[in-house]
Amino acid sequence: MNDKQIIQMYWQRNENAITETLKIYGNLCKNTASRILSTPEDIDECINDALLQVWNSIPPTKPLNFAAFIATITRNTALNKYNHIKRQKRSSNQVQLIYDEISDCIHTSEDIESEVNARMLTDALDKFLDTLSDDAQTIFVQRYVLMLSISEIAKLYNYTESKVKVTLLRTRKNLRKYLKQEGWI
Amino acid sequence: MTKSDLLTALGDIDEKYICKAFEKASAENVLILDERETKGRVGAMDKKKYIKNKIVPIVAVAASVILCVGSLIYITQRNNDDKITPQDNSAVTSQSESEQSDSSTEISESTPDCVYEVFNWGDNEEFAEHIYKIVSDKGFVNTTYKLQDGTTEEIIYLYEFDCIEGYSLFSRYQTGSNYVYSFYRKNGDRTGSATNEITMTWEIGTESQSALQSKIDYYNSQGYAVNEISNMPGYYYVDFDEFQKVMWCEAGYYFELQFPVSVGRINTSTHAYTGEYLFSLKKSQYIIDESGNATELDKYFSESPYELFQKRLIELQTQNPNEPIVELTYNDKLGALSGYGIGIPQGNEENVNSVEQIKEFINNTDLAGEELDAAILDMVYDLYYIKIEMGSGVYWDELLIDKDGKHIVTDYMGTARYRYYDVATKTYCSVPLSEIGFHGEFDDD
Repeated sequence: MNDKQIIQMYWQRNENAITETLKIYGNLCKNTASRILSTPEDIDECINDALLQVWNSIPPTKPLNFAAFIATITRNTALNKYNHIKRQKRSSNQVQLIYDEISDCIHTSEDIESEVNARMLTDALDKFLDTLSDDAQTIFVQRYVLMLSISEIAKLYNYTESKVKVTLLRTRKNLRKYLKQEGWI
Repeated sequence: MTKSDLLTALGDIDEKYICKAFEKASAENVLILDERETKGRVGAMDKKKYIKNKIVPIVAVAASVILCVGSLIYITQRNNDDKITPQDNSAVTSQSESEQSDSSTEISESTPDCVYEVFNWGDNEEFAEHIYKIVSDKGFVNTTYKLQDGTTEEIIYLYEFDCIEGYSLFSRYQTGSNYVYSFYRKNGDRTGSATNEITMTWEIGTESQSALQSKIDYYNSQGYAVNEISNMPGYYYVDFDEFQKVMWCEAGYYFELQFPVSVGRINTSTHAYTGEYLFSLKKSQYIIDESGNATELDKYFSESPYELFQKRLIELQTQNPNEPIVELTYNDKLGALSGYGIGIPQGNEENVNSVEQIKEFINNTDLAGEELDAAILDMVYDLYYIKIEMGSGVYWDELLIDKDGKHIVTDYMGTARYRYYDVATKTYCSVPLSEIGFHGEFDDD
C-alpha cells in the first residue's frame, strides 16, 4: 500500500489507515520518538498520540510527503511530552544537547521574552531556511527538526561527520545573526 | 524567546523543508536509519540498556586495556592494527553480560573487595546507580560510593586503570554549561588485603586553599605526582606543556594518564574559579569513542596535536612574518579522534577560509575599518577552533592565535573578554578582544 492509498483511507475515515501507517512508518515513528524520549512507555504513548493527531489532521490536511508529515508530528508530540517530563525530572540527554546547541542562537535567559508569536517566529524561520544552501538546509532540518544525530545525518547524505558539524555550526551562527536582525533576540 | 520556543517553532516550519530533507536522502540510506535498532542515545536509553550497551562496553574495553598491563583481565580479541573493533567490543560486552563466562569469573575472582574514593561536586543518585551497576557487573564487590549532585546529565565516561594500586574510574559529565569530573580510586591493593574508605566531597566555592593543600598532600603521600595549586582563574589547565593533554581531558573521551592533571572548574555565570586539584594518573593513551571502542592514541598519530600545532605555528610565522593571522594545520588523523582536535577538518575545505582566501577577500572587499575587521574576524573564526565531542554531541570552541603567535586565545570565559595564555610569561590573562590585536564586532552572546 502506498502513501496515497493510506492518505485516501484517512480521508475515508477508514481506521485501517492507522494500522497501515504503523506497518510502514512504525519504525520511523519509533526512531523519531526515541530520539527525544527515554522510556519505552513514553515512546509508545507518543506514537499513539502522534497517530491520533495524524488521524485528526487528515482530513483536511493533504501531506506533500507522508513520511515527513508523520515524522514531524511525532517529533512535535515527543517534544511536547519531553517538555512535560522535563518539568518533572531530567530526561533525554540528546534532547538537552540539542537544546544546548540551539541556545547558541539565542539568549538563554527565559525571562528575556516570555511571550512570542509562534506563527511569526515560524515564518521567520521559514525565511531563514530559504537563505540557506540545500546542504545546510537539509542538515539543519534533520538535526533540529527531526533531531537526528550527527552520525545519522552524515550517513543519510553520505557526508563526513565533520562536514555536518561544521555546517551546523555555521548555520547556528547565521541563525543567531538572523534572529538578531529580525528582532527576535 | 526561549530555547523551547525556538525548537517548538522549528517543528512548525513549512512542510516543504522537511519533505526536501527526506527526499534528498537516498532511499538506501533512509533504509539504514529506519532499520537501525530503535534505541535512544545516551540519555534516551533506559538505565538497563544504558548500562548494557554503553557503560559496560566502555568499562569492559577499558578493563581489557588494564589487563594488558596488570595481567588481571582478559582481553578478548584485537584486530591486526590493535584497534578494538565494534565486533571486538561486542565480544567483550557479551563476556561482561554473562555471569557464567570465564572472563567474568576471572575478574570476579581476581578482583579484591574495594572501596572507591570519590571526588565530586554535588549529588547524583542516578549516576551513583550507574556506578554501582558497573562495578557490580564487573564483579567488583563491597564497593561504596558517594555522589552528590542533583542536576547532572548522564554523559559519563569511565576509565579504569592501574593507578598506583588497584583500579580507578574516571568520569566526566555535564551540568548545564559546567562540567563535573569525578575520580574514583580504588583503595587497597590487588590482593584486597587493605581496603579503606575515603570519601571526599568538594563543595563549589567553599574549598579553602588549606583544604586543597591538604588534598594535594594526601595525593602526594599516595604516590601521585601532584603539582602546585593555582588560584588563577581558568578552565582546566596545567603547565603549558600539558596544554593539549588538559584539553583532551576536557573532551572527555581522551585519557592520557601519565601527566599531572589539574582539574578545576569555573562558574560560567560568574566566572568565579571554584576549585582545583591536581593528581597524576598513570597509564597509556586511549581514545574511547561513543561506541565504547578503545583505540590507542599512538595508532592515530606520532606527534601530539600540540607538537603539530607548534610546528605549524613556527612554520607559518617564518613564512609569513607579517601575516596577521596564521593558519593552523590539521592532521586528518586528529579528525578521527573522538576527543580533541585543532584545525580544519579535511574534506571540508570548501567551508574553510584559508589565509590566502582572507587576503584575497581583503583585497577585493569594499569593507573598511571595523566592518572589515569584523568580517575578517568572522573568517578567522572559521579557521581555528577546537573540537570537543561529548557523548553524541559536538561542541566547537574557537581558538585564535594572535598576530605574533605568542598568545593562544580561547573564549572559554564566554564573553568578549578573552582568556589567553602568554607563552613568554607562562601566565593566563583575560583581556578584551581588542587588546590582543583583534578589533571589530565580537558577538559574545
